[in-house]
Amino acid sequence: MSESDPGIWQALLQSGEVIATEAEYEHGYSRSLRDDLVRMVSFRLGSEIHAIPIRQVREITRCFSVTAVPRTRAYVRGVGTLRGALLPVLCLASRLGLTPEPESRASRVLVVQIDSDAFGLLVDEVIDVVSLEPESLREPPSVLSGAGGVNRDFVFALARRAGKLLIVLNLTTVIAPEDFVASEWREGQGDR
Amino acid sequence: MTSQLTALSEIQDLVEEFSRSLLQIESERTEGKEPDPDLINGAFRAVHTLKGIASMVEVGQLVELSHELENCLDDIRLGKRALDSPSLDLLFSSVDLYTASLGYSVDPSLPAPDVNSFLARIGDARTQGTTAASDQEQVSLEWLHEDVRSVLTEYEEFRLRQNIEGGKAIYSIHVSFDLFDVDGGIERLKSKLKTLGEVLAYLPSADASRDDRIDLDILVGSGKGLDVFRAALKGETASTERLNTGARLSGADADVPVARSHESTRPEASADASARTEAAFGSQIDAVEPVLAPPVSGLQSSRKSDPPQSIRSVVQTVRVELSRLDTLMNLVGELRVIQGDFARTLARAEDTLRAVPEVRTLYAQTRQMGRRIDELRDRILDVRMVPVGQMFDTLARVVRKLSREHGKEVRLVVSGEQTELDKLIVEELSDPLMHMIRNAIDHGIEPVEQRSAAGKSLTGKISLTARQRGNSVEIRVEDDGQGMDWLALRERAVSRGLVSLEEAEVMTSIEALRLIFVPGFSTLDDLSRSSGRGVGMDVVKTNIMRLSGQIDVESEVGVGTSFRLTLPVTLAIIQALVIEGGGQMFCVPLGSVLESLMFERSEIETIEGFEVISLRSEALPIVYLDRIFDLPSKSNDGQLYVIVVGLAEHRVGLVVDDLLEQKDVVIKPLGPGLDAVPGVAGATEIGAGQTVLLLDLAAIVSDAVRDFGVGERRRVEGVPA
Repeated sequence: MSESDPGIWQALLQSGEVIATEAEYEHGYSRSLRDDLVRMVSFRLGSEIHAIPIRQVREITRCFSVTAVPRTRAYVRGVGTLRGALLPVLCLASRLGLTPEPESRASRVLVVQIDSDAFGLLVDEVIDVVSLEPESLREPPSVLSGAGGVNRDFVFALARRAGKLLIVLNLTTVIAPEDFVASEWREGQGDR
Repeated sequence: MTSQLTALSEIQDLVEEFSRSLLQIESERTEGKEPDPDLINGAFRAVHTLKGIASMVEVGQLVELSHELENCLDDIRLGKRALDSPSLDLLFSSVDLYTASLGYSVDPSLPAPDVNSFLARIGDARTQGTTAASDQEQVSLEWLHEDVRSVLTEYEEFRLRQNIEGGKAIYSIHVSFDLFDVDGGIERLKSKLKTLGEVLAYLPSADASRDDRIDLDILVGSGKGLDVFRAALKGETASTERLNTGARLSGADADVPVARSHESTRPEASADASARTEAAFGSQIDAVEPVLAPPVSGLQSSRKSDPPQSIRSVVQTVRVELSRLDTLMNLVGELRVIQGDFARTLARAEDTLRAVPEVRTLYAQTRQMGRRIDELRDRILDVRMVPVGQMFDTLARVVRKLSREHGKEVRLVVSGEQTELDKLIVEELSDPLMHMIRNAIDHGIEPVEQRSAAGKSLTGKISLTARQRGNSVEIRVEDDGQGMDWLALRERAVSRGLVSLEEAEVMTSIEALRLIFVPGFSTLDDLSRSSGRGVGMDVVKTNIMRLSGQIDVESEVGVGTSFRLTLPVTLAIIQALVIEGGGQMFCVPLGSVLESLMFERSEIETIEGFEVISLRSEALPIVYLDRIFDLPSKSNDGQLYVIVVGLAEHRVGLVVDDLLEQKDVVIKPLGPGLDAVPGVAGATEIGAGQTVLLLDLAAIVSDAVRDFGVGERRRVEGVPA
């Protein structure tokens, strides 16, 4: 049923999970294990790399057919059916103020869970699963606000990974179901 | 958690049963009759069972409450306390307290019920009430055999005394049942005896001679003669004797035979007997219990404790949370979609592989599977159905309470309680109905003086009728009160600025009556306690519309008012019309589609800039689906499809690009965020993973009505003036 990506499991294996080698069996472990690493799914939106905690990701699927819902904001792609359940699907790039790329073979939907609700996030490409040391996470600079780009509230932290900037997103503010409805159609305001 | 919920709903059922008994007791009292002791017993039993369940789950102070009530009811049934209006009021108020406690246990944000003050009240009432009755001189029961007397419960003894004091004769009926037909036999006999008098006690007989039979002595108090008994019990394996109570008899004939006159007829063929068995378990368990006890005297201790009341029903029924049924329903829906995909794939294969006979067989089998799935879906729907009677019982309580508060006499006449509706709809319906009943009592039924002046019967009548009509259920709420004056309504609407004078002048009586559904229209200036607070029939209408229902009103001054609600039987699955608009597929509930038409674009006219088409010489306002949803418009070379939708009393034409098909669909909520989109009520999956939105016609129509309608006037966006 699940069209899970073989690449992601490969990535899981490479993500700092300790796999003992034969040498290690013989001479003892050389690496010390850390149990406070934060594991994240990293993905590409245009030229930027973003990440979200893996425990919030329920599954990663290929794109499926999504029905547009009228009277919603542009970043709400619509509603789709995944294994019998309806879920809202959002275009993450347009939510973050980036220019969305057209869907390609590499495009994926991250099915994320907030409380008991599931949402689909459309991303350009899933890269891998990374383990980050908590101390490597940096506060986003305050200049981000008002720069016309990414809303600072959406960014939880910044990190570097293989020389590349990794933007860790704050899912709760990024998704915010109360923002789905176009402002003129919200309850109690606008011209109805 | 689940068992807690189960217990709560069992408690709720018992509270309803208790309340039902009280209502019956009250109605017998108002008719001037002595309430049937069975009713008081029924109330007592319900509270007793309730106490048992409440002690297993800790819910507020239900145990203490039930305990005190049980004592109170026990005193009443033992005659230690009079069954007068104050005690009835006390009992009725306990029903509200139960309901509040249950509500509080589920939703702690509700106000906590004040059980303690009630307990204090009931305690006070007990100490006052009991002394009055207990120092009465008691009728001697010396004439009864010591063995018999020792097994009588306090209650049985009390009823026995009551009967003797009432001048009734006491009969002892000896019966013998086949072991396998005890249940049916007792039930049969009981129904016969009940027509003759009051069944006082079932005593296990000491002279049970055979292992395969059960012998009983039944004590009955009656004003009828011995010959009547013998005639009525002809055909039963029973012998009747009149006991010499030493009391002076009234009514019954005076000859008192001292000796037993055995005139047993032969035992019936047991096959015939069991064929006639009509078991109604709940009511007979109290009768069976003494039978199952060993047939010796001195059973006092074992008989004292009441038997578990509903073992049978617990075994035969299962309580299920609605959400579980929803899950099943969704699964079936998905199964149907998969089957549909399967059938389509096969249909394509059939074109190319026509020569292969297996393909055709497979095709037929797939279709058969589809039918089975549909059947499965229907059966699951059946499970969701509940009779509306339960809700009517609650409303009966409201009528009682409000009519007292208003000092009006109101009788509630209920029919069609067996009519079934989806549980969810029943839940959503009780508030609107309660509101309508409040209105009827508040504003409909006149005060007694006014009624007598008008030559009406002093007791007002509200009738609540339910019946199924095809795929919908019609519920009527009618009162025989003062009715509504449509001219006055019209005037009021003008004075409130809801309609203009010109509009008012062309208004028909039906249109004027419908003004009560307009927000901000209230018929009484001083908002009364029960139905005031600014919410009114407009809220009722909105609630009904939300259930895809319709509401109509008729009223005649001096004669009464009648509301008619039409509701779909279920909301879980709906018959939908799949349409296309703005290049996208949508579906609409077929129940809300009155008709669909094709029009020429040239037939559109405008009234003050609002587009209308004329349908049977009436102007029908139209709205465009693509415009209201900001979708790209498709140019239909002069041809328009219009679906006429009716919700509540409004009619609007919705212009769409195409009508595609009719289909049964399982509707699912859109989920967080999207469920707040106005105009869209849900979505469904139509084959091959395609999701189709369900239009919320209630919202679309009310938007249109607001734009066109009687209130503030506003132009529809995009409509050329």
